[in-house]
Amino acid sequence: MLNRLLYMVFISVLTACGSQQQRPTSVPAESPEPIEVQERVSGAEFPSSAPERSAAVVKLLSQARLQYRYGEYQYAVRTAERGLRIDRGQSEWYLILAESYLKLGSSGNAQQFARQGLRYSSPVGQSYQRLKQISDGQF
Amino acid sequence: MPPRKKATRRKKKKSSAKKTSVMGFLCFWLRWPLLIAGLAFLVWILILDVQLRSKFDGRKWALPARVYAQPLELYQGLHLSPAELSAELQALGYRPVKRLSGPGQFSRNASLFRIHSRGFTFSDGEEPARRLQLQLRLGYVDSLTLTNGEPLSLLRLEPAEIGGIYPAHKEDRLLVRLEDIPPLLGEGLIAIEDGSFLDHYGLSLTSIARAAFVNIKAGAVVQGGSTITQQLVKNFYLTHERRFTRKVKEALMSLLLELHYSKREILETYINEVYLGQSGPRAIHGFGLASEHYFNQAVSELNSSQVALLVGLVKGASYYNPWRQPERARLRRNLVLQVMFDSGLITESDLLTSQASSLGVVDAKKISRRNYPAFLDLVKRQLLDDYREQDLRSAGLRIFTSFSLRAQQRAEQAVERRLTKLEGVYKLPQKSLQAAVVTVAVGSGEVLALVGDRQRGYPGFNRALDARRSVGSLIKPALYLTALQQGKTLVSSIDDSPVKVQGPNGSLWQPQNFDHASHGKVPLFKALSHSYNQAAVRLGMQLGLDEVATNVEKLGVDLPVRRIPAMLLGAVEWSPLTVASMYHTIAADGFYTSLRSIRSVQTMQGLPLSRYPLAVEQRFDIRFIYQLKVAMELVMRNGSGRGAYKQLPAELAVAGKTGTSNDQRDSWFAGFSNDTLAVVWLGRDDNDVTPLTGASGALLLWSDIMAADVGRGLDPFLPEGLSNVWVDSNSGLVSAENCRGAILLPFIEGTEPRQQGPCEWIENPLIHWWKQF
Repeated sequence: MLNRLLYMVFISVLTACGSQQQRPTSVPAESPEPIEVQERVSGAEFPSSAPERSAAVVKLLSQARLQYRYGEYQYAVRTAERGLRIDRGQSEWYLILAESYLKLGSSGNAQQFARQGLRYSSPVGQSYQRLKQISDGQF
Repeated sequence: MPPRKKATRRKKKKSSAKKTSVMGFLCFWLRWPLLIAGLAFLVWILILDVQLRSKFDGRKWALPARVYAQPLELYQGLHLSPAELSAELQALGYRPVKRLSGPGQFSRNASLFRIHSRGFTFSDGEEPARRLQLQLRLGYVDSLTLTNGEPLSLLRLEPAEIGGIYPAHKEDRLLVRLEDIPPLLGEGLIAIEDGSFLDHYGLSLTSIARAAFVNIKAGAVVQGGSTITQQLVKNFYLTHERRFTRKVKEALMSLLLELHYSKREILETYINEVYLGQSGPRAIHGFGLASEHYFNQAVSELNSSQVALLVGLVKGASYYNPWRQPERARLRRNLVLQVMFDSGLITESDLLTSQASSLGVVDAKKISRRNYPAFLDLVKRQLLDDYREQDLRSAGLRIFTSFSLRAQQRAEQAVERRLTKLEGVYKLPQKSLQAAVVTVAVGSGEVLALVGDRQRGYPGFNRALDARRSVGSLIKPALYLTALQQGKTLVSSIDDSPVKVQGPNGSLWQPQNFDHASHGKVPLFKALSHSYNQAAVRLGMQLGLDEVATNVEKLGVDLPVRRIPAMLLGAVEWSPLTVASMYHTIAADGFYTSLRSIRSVQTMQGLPLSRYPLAVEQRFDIRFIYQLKVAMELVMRNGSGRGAYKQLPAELAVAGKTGTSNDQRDSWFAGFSNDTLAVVWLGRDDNDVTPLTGASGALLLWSDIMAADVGRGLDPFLPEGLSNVWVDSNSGLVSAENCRGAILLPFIEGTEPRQQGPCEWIENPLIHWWKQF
């Protein structure tokens, strides 16, 4: 089960990376307002990117899905919200929220979360089609 | 019988008869008054009894609502420094030890932490107490395991209490049950206050005698004459007046209390009732709260020395105040320890160790730093939408909030340092500048931190919520968003030549750029990133004031926006929280969320009352918002916000906007990363001019805050329906990656520029590398 989850997250990330373009930013500079120049704090180290949070995400995703499967929709919502606080860029959270709100009879909320989830979902990703359906009102 | 004797007897008989007749007379005449008095006394006792029982059986105290911070979620990849983790643990009352021996302890070896968590019952399940090991590296959690090496994916520490909403009389207490306190506390209390507590019926002559004996033996007053029951009656039911009738009442009620309730119930009530100190206007009652107040520890975790100090305070919490009178408190504690030893409650070695130990009370300065009045103010205002103030002040509700101790500390520290530095650099009078900060978690819309005054813990005017100041150019993103919605692209040409706008009364308004220069035709993104006023006003008048103002409102500004030309340059007065609401909608890709400070509310017993779930509403097409965010990112890379990168890592993509009001009375900055939005205002309370622009004031403070909270940069992935095109940053014509001045910008499919511009070929490896980001 855990392996399957890890695999799904991995595939989702890969497909997302493969299908979307990244954007560089660099243009010649000029500024109308005076800017104070300050030395960067000496000795400060910044990792090039934050370490992965996948273990926590996988655990909560698994928990939320289980809660959903057992009909504990309110708990699934809570777990998904908790997951969003850790990594809001996972489309799965929005899908769980959307599906849970549908079960709870709140289709308006479900549609909104589905729309938000599409932002983080690749068109070839697993959750995309379902998010699209819900966002279009096809429950 | 001799006649004399007879005569004497007759006399006695006469006298006796006389007495009997007097008594009879008195009885005859006084029988009704006596009966009435007796009945009245009986009625009085009955009334006392009813009063006594109704208070004791009902809700004994008005309990304040307790407000909790968000729990610290520990997981691999969390941004957390060793100092921050230490601060979080200490705020929770975890004691630093060399070796873990129980819950509520931690040990630290450089960046390796071992923690024995306490466990907590959250609304969505129980988090058990666990022994864990945490390795931090470069400001992140590198590994998280149980101390036996088993990997741990996620763990929540219990939430720290950050304040309360108190009853009018400001009494505060944290109720404890008798089974939750260390046995030494109950036994020690009895030994010191009322040795015969278990034997008497509320009143005890032997208690008075024993107290006198103990006091003489100790050479000081260490034991009072009143029983614990009498003390409870006095504190719980009566006033402190010294009158005979009150003493009678106290005695009667003590007997009644003992008649109705067990010793256990009386002692437990006493332990929660007794006054044990003062924290500003807040009165500390009961051992549960006193334990947190003096030691920042749960009462169950107290050692002999700490128990003795608290027991000693019963005699006079102010007189033996361990912060103001440490020597007096130490002597008192040691005396209590001696009595405990004499009573066989502690061993000799415990006595000697405890008497030699320090008082162990928390640093008084740290106590004042645990006040977050600005955030509590927001919590209370949001709670009042759903709860009556009376209930908040008395029902003992448990309020779980989004408050982040780390975010608050970062913001407070940054405010303190930056304002002092700015006053030094610009030779301003000390403490002349004021500040307000709002930090929000992007996506959830949860307020993480709030600074309402530069002085930490100051409970006065809350600038973050109540200071309505002119926002200047902070409003411009709404204007450019409107332009994008109406068919403009990021390279659409905007005219920044001088502009005049006619007012309704015929007056002419001629806004100028900050540098008093005109820049001719400029691409839209540049007009925003350099905050050109002339371009903004001309564009806004073309788009329509109502369209721009409507977008401002849709972005989350819940105040009416006047449809006047000056609005286009920010002649509107908003609080930092209102600005945060507007910018959060942009940061969250056009999804509006009402900013929240409360997650859930529970009853005193932990039953759920209400939850405040995340709710979102899409108000803008993500394609327009995405383009706007790119333009705001360019504000940071090349425009008025670029000074931020003196502190932020170059690879961190952030977006934001400066704001400066007329005559530089207000210095604003609002900006966000992928995870965090922060809004900063700087200025003077008297609204006088300052030498600060948005870039030279608020931006620096914003950068301080964000540099301490390096989260993830903005999401670089293009939404559907947009495509990136290399364009020339000056002309807006199609360019290519290796052409000078080329920039990759998003366009809605079908609106991309078609005309090819000239290309001056460059191949700079560094620039090439940067373009990968």
